[in-house]
Amino acid sequence: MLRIQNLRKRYGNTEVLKGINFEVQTGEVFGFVGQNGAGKTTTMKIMTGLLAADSGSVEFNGVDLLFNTKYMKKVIGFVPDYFGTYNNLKAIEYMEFFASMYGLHGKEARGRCMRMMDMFMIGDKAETYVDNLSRGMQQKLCMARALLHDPDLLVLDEPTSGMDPQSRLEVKNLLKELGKTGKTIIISSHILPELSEMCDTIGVIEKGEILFQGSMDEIVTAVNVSNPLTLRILDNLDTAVKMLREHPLTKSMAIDGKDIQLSFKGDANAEAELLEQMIANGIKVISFGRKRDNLETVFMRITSKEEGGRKNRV
Amino acid sequence: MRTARTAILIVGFNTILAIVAFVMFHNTIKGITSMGALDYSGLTNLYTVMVYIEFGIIAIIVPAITAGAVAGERERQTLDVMLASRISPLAVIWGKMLSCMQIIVVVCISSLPVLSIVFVYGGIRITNLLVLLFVIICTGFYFGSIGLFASSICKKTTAAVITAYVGMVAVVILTGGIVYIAEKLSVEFVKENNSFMEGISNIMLINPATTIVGLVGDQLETESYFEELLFYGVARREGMFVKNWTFYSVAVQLFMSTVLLFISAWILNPLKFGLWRRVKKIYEKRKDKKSVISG
Repeated sequence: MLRIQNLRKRYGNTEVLKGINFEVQTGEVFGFVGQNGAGKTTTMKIMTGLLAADSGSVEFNGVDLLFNTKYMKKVIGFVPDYFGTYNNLKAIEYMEFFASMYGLHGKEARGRCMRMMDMFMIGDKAETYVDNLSRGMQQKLCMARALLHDPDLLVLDEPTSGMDPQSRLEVKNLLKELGKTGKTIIISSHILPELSEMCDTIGVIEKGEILFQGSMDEIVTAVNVSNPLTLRILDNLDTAVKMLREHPLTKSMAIDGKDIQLSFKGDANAEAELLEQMIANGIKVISFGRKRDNLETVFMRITSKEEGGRKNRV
Repeated sequence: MRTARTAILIVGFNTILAIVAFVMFHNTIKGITSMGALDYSGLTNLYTVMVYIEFGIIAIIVPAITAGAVAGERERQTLDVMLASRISPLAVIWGKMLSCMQIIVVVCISSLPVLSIVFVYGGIRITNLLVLLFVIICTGFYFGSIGLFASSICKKTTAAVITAYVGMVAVVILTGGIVYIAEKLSVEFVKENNSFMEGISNIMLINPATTIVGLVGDQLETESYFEELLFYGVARREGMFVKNWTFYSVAVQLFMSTVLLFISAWILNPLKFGLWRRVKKIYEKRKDKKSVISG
C-alpha cells in the first residue's frame, strides 16, 4: 500500500503542495487529475526521488521512501511526461542501457528487454533508432523501460499523451492487467474520461490540495448532488409541494407551473425513497431526475473558484 | 565514440601534428645545406612544439566534450529518468568522465607514431614519451573535471561550454597573472622576502601549463623561453616543489579533479537539500531506539 501523508513543498514564497494526503491500495490503479500547476508532477517527482519534500512522508509497504532512496529506486518505475531520446541509440540499445543501470547485463538483459518491448507491441522496432520512432512508440518504449526492473509501484505522468486511439486502448488494457498482477499504479492525466476507464480510484488535486478521492461514480455523485432535482407533477401538486417542503433533505424549492426544481441533498437511495413516497401519496409524477454533468463539467466544477472547491474524502 | 566525430577528431589531431613535424623537420634538415652543420636545437624544438600543440588541442577539445555531458542530458530531458533509476549521481558523473577519457586516451595513443619522429635523431627516450602521454592524459582528466563541473551547474550546453573555457582560462592564465602581480608587489614592498613569493608561486601547481612546460624542460634538460615565462620569479628556482614539480603538480591537479567530480555529483543530486532533514530523522530514530533500550 502507498500512503502519502501531509506532503508539503514550497518554491520560494509559493507553497506548491499544502499537505497532500492520500492512500492507494496494493494492486489499485489510481488516477491523479488536476489542472496545470495543481501539483501533480511535483508530487510524482517527490515520490520518485527527483525532488526533496519540505515535510511529510511517502510510505510504501510500511517503508518511508523519502528516507530510503535505495528501496525507493528498487520498487518504483517512473515514466515522466516528457520523453528524451538518445539520437544514436536503437530501441534495444536504449533498453539495454537502462537495464544496465538496474544491474542487468548480457543475455538476461536482452531477454528481459525484448519481453518488455513485446509486451508493449514494439518488439519489431528493436533495431530501429529511437529518434525514428513515432511519439506514441517512444512513449511505449519509455513505459517498457520503466518495467525493466519489475517495480511494485509504477508512477506514470500522462502516459498516453501523444498516442493514437489504438495505442491508448492497448496501454489501458495493459495497465489494467498490470494492476491485476499486484502492481500499484499511479497515473496522472488531464483526460478525465480516460482515467475513469483505467482507474479504480481518482484523486482530484487543485492548488496543492486533494479535493476529492474516490471512485469515478462516487465523485460524479458527490458533485451532481448539488444539481437540482427536476420533477414534473401531473396531479396533486399541492400535496407534492407540501411533502417536498417538509422533507428533511430539501434545501430549497422553485415552482414553475407543474415543474418543480428541488435542491435535494440526498443520494440515489434517498431519491428513490422520495419518488416511492410521492407515488404512495397518490402524487402522479411524469418526470423525476437530476441533471448529470459530463466528466469535464464535473472536473471544472470541482476545481472552479466559483464552486469554492470542496474538500471531501468520498 | 561510434559517431564520425571521434574519427574526424583523431584524423585532424594527427594531421596537425604531422604537418608541424614535417615542416620543422624539413626546415632543420634544409638548414644543413645552408649552414653546413646540423642545428640540434631545431630538432629538440620539434619535440617541444609537438608537445605544446598536443596539450593545446587537448585543452580545446576536452571542455567541449565534457561541458555538454550533463547539460546535454538536461536539454534532452533524459537526466531525470537516469536519476530516477538505481544509478547514483556520482556514478553518472564518473560514467561521463570515463567516456570522455576514452576519447582522450585514444587520441593520445594515436599520436604516438607521429611523436615517435623524435627517435630519429635521439635525445628522447621511450620512457619520456610514455611519461608525457601519462601527464597529458592526467591533464585531460583535469580539464574534463572542470568541464563536467561547468556542465553540472549550467542548464544549457552553450552556457556550460563558456563556463568551462572561462574556468580553464582562470586556471592557466589567471594563476600566472596572480604570480606576476605578486612578484611586482614583492619587489616594490617586500624586498627580500622570498618565502612570500614561494608561497604565492605554489598556486601554479594547479596550472597544467606549468606541468607540461616543466616536464619538457626536465626531459630536455633545458630551460626554455616558456619556462622563464611561466615560472616567473625567484620561487621557481627556490620553491619546495621545484625538484619534482611535475609529480607534485599532477598530484594536486588530480586531487582537485576528484574534488570537482564529487561537487558535481552533489550538485546533480536532486535530494541534496533534503539531506539535513534525512540526517535529522536518522538521528531522531537512533535516539528513540536508545531511549527504548535504556528505558
